[in-house]
Amino acid sequence: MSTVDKAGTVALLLNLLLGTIALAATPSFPVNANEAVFEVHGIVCSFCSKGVENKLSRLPFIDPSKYKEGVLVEIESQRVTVLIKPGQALDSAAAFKAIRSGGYEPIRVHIGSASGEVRVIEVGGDD
Amino acid sequence: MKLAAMISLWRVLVLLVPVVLTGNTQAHQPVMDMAPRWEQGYGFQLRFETFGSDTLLDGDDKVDNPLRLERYVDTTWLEGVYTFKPSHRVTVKMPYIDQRRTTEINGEGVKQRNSGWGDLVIALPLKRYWNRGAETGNLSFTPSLRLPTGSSSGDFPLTTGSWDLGLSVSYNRETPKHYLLVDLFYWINTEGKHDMEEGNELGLDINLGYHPYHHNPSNSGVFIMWDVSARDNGQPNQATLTTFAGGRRIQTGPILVWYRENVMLRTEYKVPVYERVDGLSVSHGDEFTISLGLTF
Repeated sequence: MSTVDKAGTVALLLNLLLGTIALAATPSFPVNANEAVFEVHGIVCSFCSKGVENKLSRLPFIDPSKYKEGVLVEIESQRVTVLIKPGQALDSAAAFKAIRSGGYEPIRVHIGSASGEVRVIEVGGDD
Repeated sequence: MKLAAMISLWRVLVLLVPVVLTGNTQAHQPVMDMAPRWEQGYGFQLRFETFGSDTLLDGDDKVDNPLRLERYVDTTWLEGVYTFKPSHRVTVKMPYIDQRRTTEINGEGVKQRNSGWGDLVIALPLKRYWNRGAETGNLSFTPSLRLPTGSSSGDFPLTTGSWDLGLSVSYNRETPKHYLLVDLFYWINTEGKHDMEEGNELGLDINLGYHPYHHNPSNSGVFIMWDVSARDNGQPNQATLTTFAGGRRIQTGPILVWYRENVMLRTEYKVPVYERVDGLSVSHGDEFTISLGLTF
């Protein structure tokens, strides 16, 4: 395989990879600026998910001015939305840990921004 | 002559088997099975339960009750739970019992009543959870210990004063709309004070639930469930005064659950659809339970 072919293959792989990331970064639900939406497996019982709400709301970067102390659990879609304090970044590792500690399994988080761009972090990725 | 013989037979039967009812020894924790499932979570529950009847059974046949034998039991449970991590919990349950009955003594119906704290129950629910998409569930194994903290004195004691061991295995599965709990348990009742020993108890509870309403912003909603409970109580020994006969029964009825945030209110009403007692005994009767639970 020539150097040109190798470069082409690498470029193709990169495109595929980037394409995957781009697909994942376009969720079927809205993600507002300064908000993050977690996809959480098993979170189907709201009385039981109170622990997730409690533990996320105690994280220092959560803004309690909206939702319940900054956290909204939606059991029909198994999503948890949090409001992030202006000027602060979401600590995805801490948030994933809080959800696990609450008894459920986080899968990924979609983080909104003022520019409309949505960044996705998978569990086990760069969290 | 024939009538006199029947009356004599009746008296013998009544003397042999006075009023009976088994205590409620439910092994699983209806509200606290659901929550708290988070690390370092805790909760409290106040549960009021009442059952009883004046229907006299001979085996599974309803018979005349000229002495109006009856038994009614009201129990208020103070319950607490602490979750170390989702797979490990500890629960404590303390009953306050108010019981009254009419029993047969020397051919007469005699009213008796007793009230006070019953036996403390400590349980260690061990759970294995799974979370898959729009489904969560768990398998639980729960050893329980009943301590003889209640009074076992008098003609109508609250407890036998024994140390009892309970074991429960349960399966739970939930989706946003549906709920299922199956709990199989067994209580080994040992010999207590004054040589009293109740028979062992085998129980099966099935809860099927539907979740018709939930409001995400206020975290509130309702569950509608249907309960089927089966009990098989072994025969107590002759010295036992808390209960006088074993038996088998199946009860069923609706459950309504309302919740908001960390508060859950649950009501149950169950009626016996099948009941057979070992001898002559008062029916368990209808059972009503209402509980208020708080989690933190």
